[in-house]
Parts: sequence; structure tokens; C-alpha cells
Amino acid sequence: MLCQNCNKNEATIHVQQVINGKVTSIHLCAVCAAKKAAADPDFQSFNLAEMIFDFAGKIAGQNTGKKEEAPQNAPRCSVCGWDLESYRKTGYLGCPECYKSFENILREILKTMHHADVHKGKIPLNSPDERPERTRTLLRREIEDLREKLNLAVQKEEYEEAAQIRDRIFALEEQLLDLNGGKHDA
Amino acid sequence: MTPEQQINELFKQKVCWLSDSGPEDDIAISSRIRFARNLQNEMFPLRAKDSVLCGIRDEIMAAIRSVGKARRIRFCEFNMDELSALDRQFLLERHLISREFLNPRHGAALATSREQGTFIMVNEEDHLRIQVLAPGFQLKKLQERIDKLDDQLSEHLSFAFDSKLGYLTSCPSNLGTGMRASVMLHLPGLVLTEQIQPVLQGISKLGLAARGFFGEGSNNLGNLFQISNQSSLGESEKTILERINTVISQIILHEKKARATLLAGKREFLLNHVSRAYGLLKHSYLISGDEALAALSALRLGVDMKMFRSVDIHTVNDLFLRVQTAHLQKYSERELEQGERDAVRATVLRQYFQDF
Repeated sequence: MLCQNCNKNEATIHVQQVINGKVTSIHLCAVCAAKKAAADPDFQSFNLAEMIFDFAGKIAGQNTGKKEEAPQNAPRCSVCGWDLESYRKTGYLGCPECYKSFENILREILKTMHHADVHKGKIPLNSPDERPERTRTLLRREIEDLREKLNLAVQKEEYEEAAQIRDRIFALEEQLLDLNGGKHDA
Repeated sequence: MTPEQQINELFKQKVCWLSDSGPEDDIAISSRIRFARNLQNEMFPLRAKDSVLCGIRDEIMAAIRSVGKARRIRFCEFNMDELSALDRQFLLERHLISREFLNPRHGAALATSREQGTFIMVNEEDHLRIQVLAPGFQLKKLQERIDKLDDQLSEHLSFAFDSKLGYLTSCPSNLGTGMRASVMLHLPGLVLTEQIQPVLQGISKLGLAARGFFGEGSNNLGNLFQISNQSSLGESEKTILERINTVISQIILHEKKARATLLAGKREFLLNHVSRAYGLLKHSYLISGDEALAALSALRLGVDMKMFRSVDIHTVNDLFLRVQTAHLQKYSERELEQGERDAVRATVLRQYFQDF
């Protein structure tokens, strides 16, 4: 039987819902079931992690031709001792380091969950590694703060100070322009 | 002040995201953004020992206090395990905590601004759940607010972050930005014209999720739908918010059309729907929570469509909260048996509507 949502994959998850005595059957593949579980509160009782994990496990099995590893050989997080079985049961990881410990299996899970596996968003200001994006963020924020100060100085008619702030803003904007490869900040 | 006295202060305090005006607030009740953050080199709350969690809580609370001082926000602080079950239920009804906090672990805490528009859950699923709420449809403004708060907290705390995976969260479904943004919509028009199902299906195809008034698991009580992003990884915060903004604008447009269709083609049906609800609210002596929410939803539709000039939407919003069980008990200043609640709820509503 094909999944009734995507009509592509084999349906492996079969759900019967009883609403006001009316029975409806739903047949889904693991991917669509996971999506539905995330979107539909009625499906919350299903362990999302477990379903996706099974799915990812199958893919990993297909690629390597290996059967599931025996529990005693199962990888554990070197920092907190959490294992995949615990993740499968709870849907939660033990510590930040778990992401490294279970990198391979998580990559598949993330692709199913987010359709992506690389972060493109915010970077913390105290991020230890120096990267241009962080410097840009810092520059933008400093410029923003200075603009506020400039407005205040103008309001107070402290024109000498305002001129100094303005020059500082120009200098920072130039730095930002250099970082952007000559393009103006959007 | 004891925790209970602090809770009673919050009870008296108006909730900014329900009682202030905001853009499109005839349909969009409120906007919310949450950032999930964890401390570097610490186990996630589920795995960490109680003593460790209490240490983490103290560290985070100290950071929140410093930020509060710099921003002149006075945060009210609560240790969850020092509160009564009723007070925890009250915080849940105010949307300040999640269901998980009803049975809190050691070290679980909440810091909230008095107006309840900025608050942080400590040691829930993640070490920090930073949240901001505002009335109406205004995600962009909220993002600026939460971004700044997050930056200021990161001056005091080192967040677990990986350059490839982003902010590391206890559940991989929040990984990356750690962001969930949502808008609470009141969609009686789409429900009455039976267009809501296709709309909800469309939403999930666009990578967004629809939930009820009380988040996951709650159904569409009072025709209230919370629309939020499903994935948090692979797009920037800005891109995710733009996607939500586009979809929400479309839904608001559809809801307006549905309301116009009802008014033009089914005037008696609409008037009947709204007026009966008004009658129920004004004259009942026993009314259940679900019944009250359904009637308030209908009344709000009537108010939005200028059928009731004397009632304003913020009052109806406020009543959405006041008819909930913990709020009724706070109002009565005592615990109420299951059977008493429907009577007290009806009294609260009658008292309110007798002036009209």
C-alpha cells in the first residue's frame, strides 16, 4: 500500500482514529507520519523520535548493509553517557556533546525533521570562533548604538560630540562595507 | 513577598499582550517568539542531577537580574517547586509556563516581567526558554526585542553553540536557531464558512504548524489557532519570520473575506450566532469552560464586526483568561470543587455583562 499523503513511499504506519464513534484509517510512510506528528496535536501521542529514528535506522542499514547493532556495542556519549536507545525512548539528547557523539545518525534525523542540516541563523556574541558574520553583527550593533547616541547629542545641541560620533559611525560603516566585499548592508 | 503574594500581584496585573492594542488585532490576538538556549558544557535538564540544575538556575537567575537592572525591567522570580498546584495552573493559563512545569523538576524556575510580555523559563526542556509576547500581529518588532535580550544574556552566560548546527537544544527539533515564532489567530469566519480545514492543511504544506489556544494537544477551543514554524534549522531567523509573515497575512485576508461573505449572504445566521452567545454569557447560572470560550469567541466576532459598540475586544480577550479554572479560584480567593466552577464562571460573566 502506498502512503496516502505523498503517494510515493510504501505506507508503514497505519493509524485508526475514532472521533465521535466514527472510525477513519490513515496510511502513511514514515516521512509523512513524522510531518503529521509534528503538525497535528492528535498525533502527539506517537513518539516522533521513535518513528524518525526507525526511518533513519533503515536508511543507515540500507547503506551499510549492516543489521542493527547489539545494545552492548551501542555508541554512548563520551561526556554524559547517554545512548541512542535513551534518545529513541525519550526524544531528548543528554548534553550538547551528544550532537558530536551521534553525529551520523542525527544527520539523517535532522534532514527528515528540518529538511536541512546546517545552521544559517544567529551566532552568539560570545562565540569562541572568530568569523566574519560575528564581526559584522558586532559592527552593526555598535553602529546602531552610536546612532542613538548621535540623536541624543543632537537633541542636546552638543554638536562637537555629535560630530565625533558621526565620524566614528562613518569609520565603522566603512569597515562593514569592506567585510561585505564592497556591498552595502541590506 | 511570599511566592503566593507575588502570584496574586500578577493576577491583578493586566496582561499586556491581551489588554493593549496591536496591528490587525481584530484577527491576530497576539504574537510570540521563543528562543531555546542551553549552557555550554552542562547536561540538558532531563539528564542533569538536581544539585547541578539548582546551580544552573542560580547562575541563570543572576544573569537575568543583571540584564533586568540594565534594562530597567523588574523580573518576578518563581521557583516552581515552591508554588502550589493552583498557582502553577494559574501561570499556565497566563501562558507563562508550559504543561511540563505543572510537575516541575528541581531547579525549575520562571522569571517574568510584571506586564508578562517578557519571560524566561529556566530548566524546562532546555536551560533557558526566552520568550516575548506582544498584542496583535508584530513579529518583526518582537524579533528585535528578543534578539537584544538574548544578546544581553549571552554577555553573562556561555550558550552551547556549534558553528554548523547552531544553538544546541535538548530536542533536535529545536536545533539551529532554537526559535519558534507564533501568531495566535481568531478565525471564527473560516470555521463558520467551513473553510478552516483546507486552510490548516495548506499551512502544514508550507512548513508551519497550527495548534490550539494552549499549544500542543489542545484543540481549537474558541476558534483560536496558534500558527508557528515547524523547523528551526537551515534558515535564518529573518527568513523563517518572513515565511510566517507571508502566510499569516494571507490567512488574515481569507478570514476577512469569510466574515464579509457571512455578513453579506448569511446575515441572520451571523446575528443569531453572535446574539445567542451574548445571551448565554449574560444569563447563564452554570457554564462550562468550553461553552464559555465558544460563546466568547462568537461575541468577539460580533464586537469585531461592530455589532456591539459598548464591548471592546480587549475586555473579551481578558475574559478568555478570566473564565479559566485557576483564574476563577484566584478570583474567589479559595480552591473550588469541580462542581462549583461552572457556577462561579457564570457569576463572573453575568456580573460583567449586566451593565450592558
